[in-house]
Amino acid sequence: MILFLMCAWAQDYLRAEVVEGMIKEHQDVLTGCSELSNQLYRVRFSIDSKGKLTLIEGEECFHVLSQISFPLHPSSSRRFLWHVAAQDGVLFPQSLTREKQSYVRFPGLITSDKEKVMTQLVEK
Amino acid sequence: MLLLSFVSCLHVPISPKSYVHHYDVHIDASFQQLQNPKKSDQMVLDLVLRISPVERLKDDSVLYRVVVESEQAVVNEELLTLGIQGKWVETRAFEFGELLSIVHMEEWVAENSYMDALDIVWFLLYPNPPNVRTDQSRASLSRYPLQYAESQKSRVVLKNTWTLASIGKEAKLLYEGDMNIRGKWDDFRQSGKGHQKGELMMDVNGGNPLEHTGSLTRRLCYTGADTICQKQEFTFTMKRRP
Repeated sequence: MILFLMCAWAQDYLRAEVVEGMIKEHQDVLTGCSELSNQLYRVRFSIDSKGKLTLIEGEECFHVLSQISFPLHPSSSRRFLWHVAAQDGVLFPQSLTREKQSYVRFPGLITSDKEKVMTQLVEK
Repeated sequence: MLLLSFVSCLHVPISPKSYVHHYDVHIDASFQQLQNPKKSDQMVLDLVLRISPVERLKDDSVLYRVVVESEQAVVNEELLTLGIQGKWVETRAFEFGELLSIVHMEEWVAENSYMDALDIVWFLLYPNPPNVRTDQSRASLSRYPLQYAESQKSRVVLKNTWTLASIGKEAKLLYEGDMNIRGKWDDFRQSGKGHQKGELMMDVNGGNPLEHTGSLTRRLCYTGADTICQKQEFTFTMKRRP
């Protein structure tokens, strides 16, 4: 428990600007993407609490992003969406944002009207 | 001291045995209608799952990727696509078959995707039978955490009593027991109780079942100022492709 608290205390939550900065800093690992045709690409990835990146969606050459060690962070796995344009073999990062967690109301209950469930549970 | 703490938070990747397995999963489900409890919604789901190891972790557990290769759902006789084909989650489990955690579960769920109610798929894949001899029956727990969103956390525990029906190169096991769910979503408490029974074929070395058939009946509730419960029934089969 003490160990866990120390780990959490020593780490910052992983924000999109931190991830964006680190990818820009290590952009040279993406040499394999120089063959990409000229267009805008969508790259989705997650970074777990140990700082390990896993590509969820995107061109094969973006897999090398997993070589970057991101900071440890106390939150559960976070997902990011990166838009990057390729132009004549050069990558131009456009935007990097954190994806919102999925929002499922009353997980496990199957009903067509979860608003009614909410109303009933809040206002007895 | 701080440095030591960081070191202990890391894991050491080691290549696991490389194998890929495909599973055909079939689930018939019935969900009691909340507005009209005498009626229920019927669902038939067929999935093909591909499970492959990603890496071995420091505690000797293995991270597996579980990909939906194909999906087909029929809800109240209407053919539906759940939108999960090609999507994957990762499980961390010991090779003998005990499930420890599941990540990226949110990839499989969206409002009314039904997958949040079909967590039985984790028990199908990871029933965690004990070592049992022909002349005895033994109990074991199969546990799995569920988290589809930051504001939700649940834990499912299935306590089963197992008997060995036959053994050769493969073992045929029978089980029966009770399910318990505890959790929360936002400010609402989630709870549930159920009963399950079934049979499975396992490799004698353990791992995911080669075949698994069974049924589960449960009542899933949410409690706030009031309590709402839904009766849910599942029958299921799963078979690993040769």
